[in-house]
Amino acid sequence: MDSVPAPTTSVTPVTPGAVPVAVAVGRWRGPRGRRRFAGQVFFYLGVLIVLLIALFPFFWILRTSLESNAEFVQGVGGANGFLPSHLTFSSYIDDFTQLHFLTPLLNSAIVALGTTAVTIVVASLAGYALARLPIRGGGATLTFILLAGFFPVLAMVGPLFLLYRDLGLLDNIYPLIITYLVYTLPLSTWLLRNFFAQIPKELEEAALVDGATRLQTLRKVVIPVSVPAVFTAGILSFILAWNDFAFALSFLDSPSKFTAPLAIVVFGQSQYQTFFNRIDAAVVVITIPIAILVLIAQRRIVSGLTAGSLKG
Amino acid sequence: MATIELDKVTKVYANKNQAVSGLSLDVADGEFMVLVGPSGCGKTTALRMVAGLEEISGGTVRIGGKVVNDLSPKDRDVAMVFQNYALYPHMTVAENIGFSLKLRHLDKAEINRRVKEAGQTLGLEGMLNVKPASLSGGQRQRVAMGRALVREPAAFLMDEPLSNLDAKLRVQMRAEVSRIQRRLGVATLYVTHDQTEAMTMGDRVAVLAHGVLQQCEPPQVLYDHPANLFVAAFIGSPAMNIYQGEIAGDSGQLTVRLGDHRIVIPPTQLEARPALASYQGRQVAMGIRPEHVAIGHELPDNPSVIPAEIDLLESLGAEVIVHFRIKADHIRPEGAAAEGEDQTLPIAISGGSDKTAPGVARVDPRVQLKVGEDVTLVPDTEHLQFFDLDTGAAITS
Repeated sequence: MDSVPAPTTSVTPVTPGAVPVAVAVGRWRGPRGRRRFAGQVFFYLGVLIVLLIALFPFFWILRTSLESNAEFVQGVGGANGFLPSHLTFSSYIDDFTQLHFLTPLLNSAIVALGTTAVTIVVASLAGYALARLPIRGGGATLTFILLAGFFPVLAMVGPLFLLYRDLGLLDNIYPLIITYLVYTLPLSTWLLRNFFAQIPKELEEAALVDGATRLQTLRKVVIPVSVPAVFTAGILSFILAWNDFAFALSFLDSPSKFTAPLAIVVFGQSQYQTFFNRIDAAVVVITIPIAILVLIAQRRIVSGLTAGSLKG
Repeated sequence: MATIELDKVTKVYANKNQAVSGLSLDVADGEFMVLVGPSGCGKTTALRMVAGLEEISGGTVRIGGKVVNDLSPKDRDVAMVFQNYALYPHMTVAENIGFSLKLRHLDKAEINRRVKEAGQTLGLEGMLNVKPASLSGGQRQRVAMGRALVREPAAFLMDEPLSNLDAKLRVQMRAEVSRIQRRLGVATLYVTHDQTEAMTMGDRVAVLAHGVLQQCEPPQVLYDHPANLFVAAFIGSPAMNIYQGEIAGDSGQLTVRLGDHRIVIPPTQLEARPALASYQGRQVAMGIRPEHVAIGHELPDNPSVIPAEIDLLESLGAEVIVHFRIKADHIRPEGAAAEGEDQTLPIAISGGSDKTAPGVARVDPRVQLKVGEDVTLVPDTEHLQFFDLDTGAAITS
């Protein structure tokens, strides 16, 4: 066996056209080149297939959300083929006018932002303490915290329901924040602790000698330096709270208290027909904040923020 | 402007490891005190106790006459420069320098003025608005200095601030740090393992080994009159040659016997070290600095000469470092171990009656020498040093 590298590993992901044709042809000349060429073809074919499978549901949601009720009722192959014959925003308009989708959206925003805010503050403090203070049994605590974060959601619903019922916290969106903290805090604490632990101690010591208190050190040096980790923790928390269905379904009763995912399910229901066009329009709407967040995060999460603090 | 006083300061870690033992040290107002010693000797721990970054297990630390043992770092009014600079990566150079002032709630104009002034002092004018990541090592070092001096603190603490710089920059910054310190006149405690830094920068140098202060004197005194074998071997480069010898009294004259050779101890030495007489018939450690060894080709009319063989020649241009071997027992005190060797070695006596011991001499490059050649060493007996073999202490009065 000669030492030709596996075709897939030798492929460099270049955008088509970025490689000058002459170079490309040169690379693919000869028996080895032909194998490399075949490897590239298979690689991109594979990528294409995976992409199609992954993106098709999104396409279908978007497509359906742009159908009118009348067209939707006729189904695929009726008035519309694979693509709708004419696009309309009527489902979106219906969602916000007839179905009052703004209320559940606001509820979701309150719950998700509240969860994120509490998570970042508490997880930063806890993570910092676990990273820096000499806590007896700190390692065991950390393991336990991580385990708690993976507790099955549905196992939590029953006990919490009974607890909330006795405390009179049912059918209220704010207690949902406490519920989501059960999952966001462990992961975020863990993430932040590990990031904080990597920050050179001297950075904090410099701040202490410069006249900062421990809390000021955390607020003005450690957290700003940890922006990538804080953002990641925040986004994970937001997404978890924003997307939750199980807890909201169990704890909320009146439609005015519904969060977005819960409202969506109720939306399409009429006696004879589920209007998936309306559901899908709402799905597109609730996906937008997440998409924006991830895009912002991508730009903000710049690795190597600590570069330059220490030598090299 | 203040003094730093350490009074029997001790640090014992939770694992019972005693890093610093009964360290007493006074840094006068405006004094540049260098704390030097091999790695692991407790010098950084001592500095961190002064800064408040390390709990003090025993003794007291006073800054400006005030006991600071239980004060947090921010209340001690000291500024510290760290080995790795520890610049805040998310702040610009100006924000880095002005951080401590901002924490003290000085008004913006005053902060700007002082940051600008510090920037000018350190030649950072053009870089105040960039982040540390885009600075070179030397520039980062200056920012770290700037952060300390903008404070106008009671004391400066520096933890090997130059050790991350390349050799040329280090020499340059050495002079610059000294100059700035003298101009500001702030008591400074400067930790280093580099004895050249210690010698060139310190008003006084405190040598530490195993957490115990060995000697604290101005550099020249330290060099000329080391208090013990450790200091003798640690200070000076190339290191002092130290051999085992026997003090003998012959015809009213004291000599030291080195292997088969006798070196006459001049009367001036006896005046300076009267206790030497009581060592008659006993083994001692005899030290001589490389610059006090002359090398000749024939035996002059001098009884105190030693035949030697040249091992290696290192020409430095202005001088030649001659590595030779003589018949004697070599003493290599701990701390004098070459880099990479085990530094915790106790006093080691190598060689036997028929073995040879290494030594070093600095000679004029015009002296014609060849490797492998047999030569004659003429020690300048006025500059011999004697140490007790049991205690390691210098034999003086």
